[in-house]
Amino acid sequence: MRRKIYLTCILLFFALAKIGFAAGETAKLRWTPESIQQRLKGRVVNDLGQPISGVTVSAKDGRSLGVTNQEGIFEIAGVNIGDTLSFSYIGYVPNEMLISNFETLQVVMTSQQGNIDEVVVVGYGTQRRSEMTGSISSVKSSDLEKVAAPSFTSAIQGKVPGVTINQTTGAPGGASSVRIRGVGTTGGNQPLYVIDGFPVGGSNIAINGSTDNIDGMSIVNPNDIESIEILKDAAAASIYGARAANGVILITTKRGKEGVTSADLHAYTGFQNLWRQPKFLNAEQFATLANELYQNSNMATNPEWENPSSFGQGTNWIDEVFRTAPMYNVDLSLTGGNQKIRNALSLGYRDQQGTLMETWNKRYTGRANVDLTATDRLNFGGSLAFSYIQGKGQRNEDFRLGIFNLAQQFYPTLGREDVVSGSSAFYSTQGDNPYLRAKSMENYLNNLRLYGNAFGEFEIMEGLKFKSSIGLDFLSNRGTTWEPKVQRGFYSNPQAVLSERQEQGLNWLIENTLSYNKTFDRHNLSLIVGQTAQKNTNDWISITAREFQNETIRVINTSSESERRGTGTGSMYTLASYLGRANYSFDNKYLFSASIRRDGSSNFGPSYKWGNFPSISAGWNISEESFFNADGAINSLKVRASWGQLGNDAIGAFGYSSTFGLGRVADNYILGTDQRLITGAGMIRPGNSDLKWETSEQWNFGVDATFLNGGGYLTAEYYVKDTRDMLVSLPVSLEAGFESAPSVNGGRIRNSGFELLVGYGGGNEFQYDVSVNLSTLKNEVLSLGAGNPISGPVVGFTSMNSSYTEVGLPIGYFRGYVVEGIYQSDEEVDKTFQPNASAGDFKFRDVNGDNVLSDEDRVMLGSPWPKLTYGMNIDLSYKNFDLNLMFQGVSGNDIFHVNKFSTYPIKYFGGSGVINASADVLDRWTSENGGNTVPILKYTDLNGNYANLSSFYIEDGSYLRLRNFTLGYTLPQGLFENTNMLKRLRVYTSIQNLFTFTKYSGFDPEIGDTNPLASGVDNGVYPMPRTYMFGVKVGF
Amino acid sequence: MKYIHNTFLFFTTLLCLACSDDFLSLSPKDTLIEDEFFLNISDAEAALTGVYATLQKEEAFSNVRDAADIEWAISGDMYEMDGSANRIELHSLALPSTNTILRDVYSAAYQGISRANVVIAKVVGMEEGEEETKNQIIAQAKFIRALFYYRLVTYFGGVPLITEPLDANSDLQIPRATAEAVWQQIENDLNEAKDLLPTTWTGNDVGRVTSGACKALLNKAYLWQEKFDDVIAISESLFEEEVYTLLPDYRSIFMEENENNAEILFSTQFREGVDAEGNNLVKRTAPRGAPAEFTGGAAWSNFVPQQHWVDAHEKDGSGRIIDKRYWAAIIGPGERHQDMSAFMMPDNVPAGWSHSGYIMTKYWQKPTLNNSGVNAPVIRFAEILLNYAEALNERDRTEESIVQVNKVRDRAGLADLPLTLSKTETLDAIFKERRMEFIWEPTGGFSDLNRRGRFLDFIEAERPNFPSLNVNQKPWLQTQPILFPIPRDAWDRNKALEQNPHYTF
Repeated sequence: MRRKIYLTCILLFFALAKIGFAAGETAKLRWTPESIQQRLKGRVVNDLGQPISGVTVSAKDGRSLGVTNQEGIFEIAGVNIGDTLSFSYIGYVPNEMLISNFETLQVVMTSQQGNIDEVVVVGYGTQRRSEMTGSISSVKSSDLEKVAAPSFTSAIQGKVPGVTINQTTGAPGGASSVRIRGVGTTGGNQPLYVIDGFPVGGSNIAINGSTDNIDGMSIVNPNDIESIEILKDAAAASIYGARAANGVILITTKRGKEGVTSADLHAYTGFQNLWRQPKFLNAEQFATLANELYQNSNMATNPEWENPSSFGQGTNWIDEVFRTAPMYNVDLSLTGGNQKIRNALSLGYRDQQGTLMETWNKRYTGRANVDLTATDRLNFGGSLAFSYIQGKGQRNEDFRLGIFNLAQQFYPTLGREDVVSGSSAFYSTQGDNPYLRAKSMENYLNNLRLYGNAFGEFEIMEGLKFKSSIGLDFLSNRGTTWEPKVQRGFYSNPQAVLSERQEQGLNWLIENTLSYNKTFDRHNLSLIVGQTAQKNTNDWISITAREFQNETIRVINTSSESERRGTGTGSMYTLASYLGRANYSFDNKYLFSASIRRDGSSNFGPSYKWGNFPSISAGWNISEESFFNADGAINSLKVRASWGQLGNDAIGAFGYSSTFGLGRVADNYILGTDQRLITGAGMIRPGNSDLKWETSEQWNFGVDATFLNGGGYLTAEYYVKDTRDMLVSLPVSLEAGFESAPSVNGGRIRNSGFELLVGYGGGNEFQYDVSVNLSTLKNEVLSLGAGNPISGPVVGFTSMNSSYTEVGLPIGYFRGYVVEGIYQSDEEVDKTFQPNASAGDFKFRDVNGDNVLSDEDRVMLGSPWPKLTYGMNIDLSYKNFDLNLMFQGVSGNDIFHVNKFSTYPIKYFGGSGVINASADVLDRWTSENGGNTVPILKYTDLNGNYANLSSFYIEDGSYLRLRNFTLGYTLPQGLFENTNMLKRLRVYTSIQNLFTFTKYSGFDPEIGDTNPLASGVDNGVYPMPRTYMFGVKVGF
Repeated sequence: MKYIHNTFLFFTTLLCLACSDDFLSLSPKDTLIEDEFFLNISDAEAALTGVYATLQKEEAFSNVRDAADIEWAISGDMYEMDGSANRIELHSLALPSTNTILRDVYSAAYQGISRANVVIAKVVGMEEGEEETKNQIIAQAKFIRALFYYRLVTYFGGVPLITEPLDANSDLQIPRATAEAVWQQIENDLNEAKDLLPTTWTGNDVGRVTSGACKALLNKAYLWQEKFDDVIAISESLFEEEVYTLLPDYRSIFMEENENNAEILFSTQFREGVDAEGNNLVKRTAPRGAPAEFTGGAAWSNFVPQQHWVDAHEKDGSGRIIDKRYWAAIIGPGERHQDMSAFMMPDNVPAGWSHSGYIMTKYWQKPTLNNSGVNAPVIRFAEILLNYAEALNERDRTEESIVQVNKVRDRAGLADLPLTLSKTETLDAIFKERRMEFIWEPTGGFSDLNRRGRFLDFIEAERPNFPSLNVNQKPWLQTQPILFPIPRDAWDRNKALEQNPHYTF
């Protein structure tokens, strides 16, 4: 029914457009003055082709002739051929133009350093920066070009204050976690992504059977991006209402421009390797320490390791599974257009091998953007993009069988193709040779995304426009995992397993907006109202089959019929909204803006379906005042403030009603003489009829300034962001027996911080632009619904919670005992306090002094959230050379190095036997030498040296990284004057992660997770590579 | 101007039309919401199946956490092979409240109770369905609820007593009830259930709770509370049913092809396969590192019978064990597997297979590629006989008691005990029989000894590593009965909980 109404709407729109076309013709006649030949019409655009409104057009004598309207169009009278017009506008270099005829003028104005008045894409429109009252950071294509990265998220890392980006894996095409102004919730905390006005799902793409995630936003080729706008405060983001609480990232793709035809080819190739390799015990050291462990435990030692020195260095398993991995990338883009039609087409291909063996990622992208000016009043446009991502991944972040984890644990005494075959008492019987394992496991991803939108825009009367657009986003995701039948020493997979998972999703959006822009005298007014509806459906099926007739034929059909199992399910989501915004400015000095969005989401029950999200903001361009001397040290100055409310509905569906699962493994039972499977049901989650929006209320105060003759620029902001009614799956009492916790609105979290961007640029032959950005973050839980703290997920194989959340402290902090050192003798042990401790064990701190080791002795050990994040960007160019250096760093955060749980004790954590360990274990406590860092080597750990979360696991996570170094050379223009083909040629070399300063002892300090309750937990994260690249960019 | 007017009118209408609430009111595709469930008997049956399903967890009644990790490793007759921290904590009687095995057992019990509570509350109010069918559904749920509460009260003492479904708005800070209150609830549930359920099920219903199972659990509940007269009465009521009996052959009780036999009062049902409808019993019992042609997929030998337990078997003059139960359920150095004669334990058993040299074969009957289908016995008729014997003996009917014990001994090929044994000797004999009869079953180990306050004496006499257990430095072992700590995770979420004496959170 709903769908029909929309189809009718669209049909009506097109019908109407026809009427409008005809009406427009008449209207035009009516509005055109008689004296047309004495008038001159023109259009002013910036160097990106976007219109600039408010540009003053004046005659040579300084007499003002007019200003441009919202479309950048001016119409003036009283000029003659031969006159010179001058164009001026704040933030732009003044321009002059000689009138040679009365044809429409096209004027291009270039912005001054610091882009003080660039045109910025905002939700449902554009705005000049000087008029903006909200907090929006922009990254332009020219910035993205400097970092040849697979996804724009890695290219903007460290560039934007207030935005913390962490790569969550170094896997090729790897995922990242993006957080805008801290984490305000224990639930969904990633921003909303909007591509050309179409909100799309940006969640990371999992490779079935692997822990390697692909960046969900890598569906957008960075080469296609014109600009990225990050809406940080409520004034900017509240127009996206119910989904904007975590901020909004708008991506605008490149569109064709009138009169500009170009073809560009961008290709690069390079290679990646590990930038750092922590040391592990070599074969001799391992055998020595393993023997010591058994001796300390009064157990027999392994005769195979009797002569440690006979093993020498042995095998370095990190070297065996890591490699220098190549990457290639080619992008081709074509743009062109005339007054009627403008196109941009692009194709891209990228092939990235992973530094870890048997991992790779290939991406094919394509995009077509078309804009059509049907009449003066009617525009059409649309875009269609696809991305096809293929990948191969490995299960890594799995203590027991992850390739990367295994490489740290496997026996240096064995060779590359060796399997464990010694006495099963001394080896981890479920461990596997990481090299052979990686070779045999095949986990593939085939992800197709097809998305685009089409719009029509009709100008009903001057300044009043109706725009209707539809968007579609189709997803097909295929995951294949294969493991052959193998017997590798103690590891066996008795049946070959093939699992095929097919997911399909469709997301559609309809939007209708009516906008009105009017400039009269010194008043500038723009209004927009609109309505949108969005629906998302998603289904998947999965079949797992075992036992294959012939293992070279890997299709479900060749498996044993009795060994096939299928599962599948689906989900749906709808969102309906109304929106409105008014911007008013007086004389470019006093700026006001108010917006509201009303959203209804299917995720909520009947009484709380709808929520309202208002915002108001104001700004004052002080430098426009007559008393301000713009020629002084400060050239422009603006202050602004905003308040607003945003929502978050990322809680999953149907939390308002109790749900019962049917036919899941945990529901079914076996009954009857012939052992029949009986389908059962069980309550999954009790309902909460009171469930409603999470609301984030934000205050923002900002200052924008340019100084030193426009060469210096500065933006400083302070914000307070309070999350109320935080959506949380509260950890309910175990006694309630719920399979999963009900969703409740419980808790209040405050994020506050200061953000600064300051830079200076200039120069002629030698050009420079240096900018520094920094942001501080303070995160504090103000209250929690039921009052009880929330424990983060338990780390696999351990009893340690990845985090703890309680009132008065940051969300998801690390909590545990404080290690005071190591007991040097049995006499030193206080048996009342640590009844199971003996010499060589950790001595924990009795925090409350009651001489009982209890929960009260667990304290805050650290927080995963950096207190300070910063970046520095240096652009230099001299003649044809250009150089970019981008530094990025964080400080004040901690890492829960839980990987030590498997890489320190030597005793295998998952069963009997021993495994290899970090070379740091050479500093272990021994009765001869003592020691205060690593406990005694023992087979059983009764004191819980490793089982207890303690300060032993918490490390400083601060780092400073040279994220990007690029040196480029553009061939002199003169070279190509005689050829019609080549317009521009630039070659460059680029190194990413050239160096990193950190105290962290693991492979890489950049540890991210999209789950705020498991952030900063290193359980064997695929480390970031260092990348060397060489590229060439050719314009035809 | 008319055109503008019309256009406005159109767009205004369009914006208002937009979206009504039915666009936003979806129904889940993969789950049922409350309003659509418990409408008919088939929903009620499905929900009951979901209650049964909670038994299959390793932490529930699958003879892993309870039988192996807790009962037999704490009593010390089985040895933990891995040195894994949580097992060692139990095996060495350290018992911190952070122990994950205790936590998981606690939490699995409440998951079963929660599902049973929903069925009991919802089916009563259902309009549709025959009264008898509904009553039987409720009765089965009550048995399972009682089974989980029995587990909780014997391990932890008085625990929060929850008998109604909870939801997101319930007060979930629930304090502990007294042990007496929990026992009362168990008795009430079982007394109601036993009268509503048939003595046997047939065909596709075999494996469900019978009236006999209810009586058997009542028997256990009375015995724990030392209500010996009630034990005698309920045992005799069960014997009158004439449904259950001792099988002549000990091994056949456990065989997968002989499941739900006359000795089994209640067992958790499993089916071999790749999913959780099977269990890990074969993986956990088969020797780690032994040839895959005998073990199948994985073999972990997590626990192995200890030498001192083997030595406790009755032997003939030549030193050979005469107890048939040993030969039916255990293989030691140089001994052949009962069903796979091609598999013989080496004379020098590799330490990885078994530190003690012994492997239990009750459940490991054949090579098993994935999860095994062998059922996990929960209550057997032999236990009822021995419980009955214990009660008779306590009521000074010692001779009658010895007659019952001898039934169990006869099957094991052991000589009858003389009817002249004293009351104390008889009690000792009953406990000896339990120890030899129920290895790696959820009865016969720690809880039995603890029930009668015999645990510390037993380990002092039997566990060779007794001195290293430092029992005197563990005050929590000095209470009667010994209680496990309330898990810290439970207290983390429910601050109304109080800890048992001598433990901290």
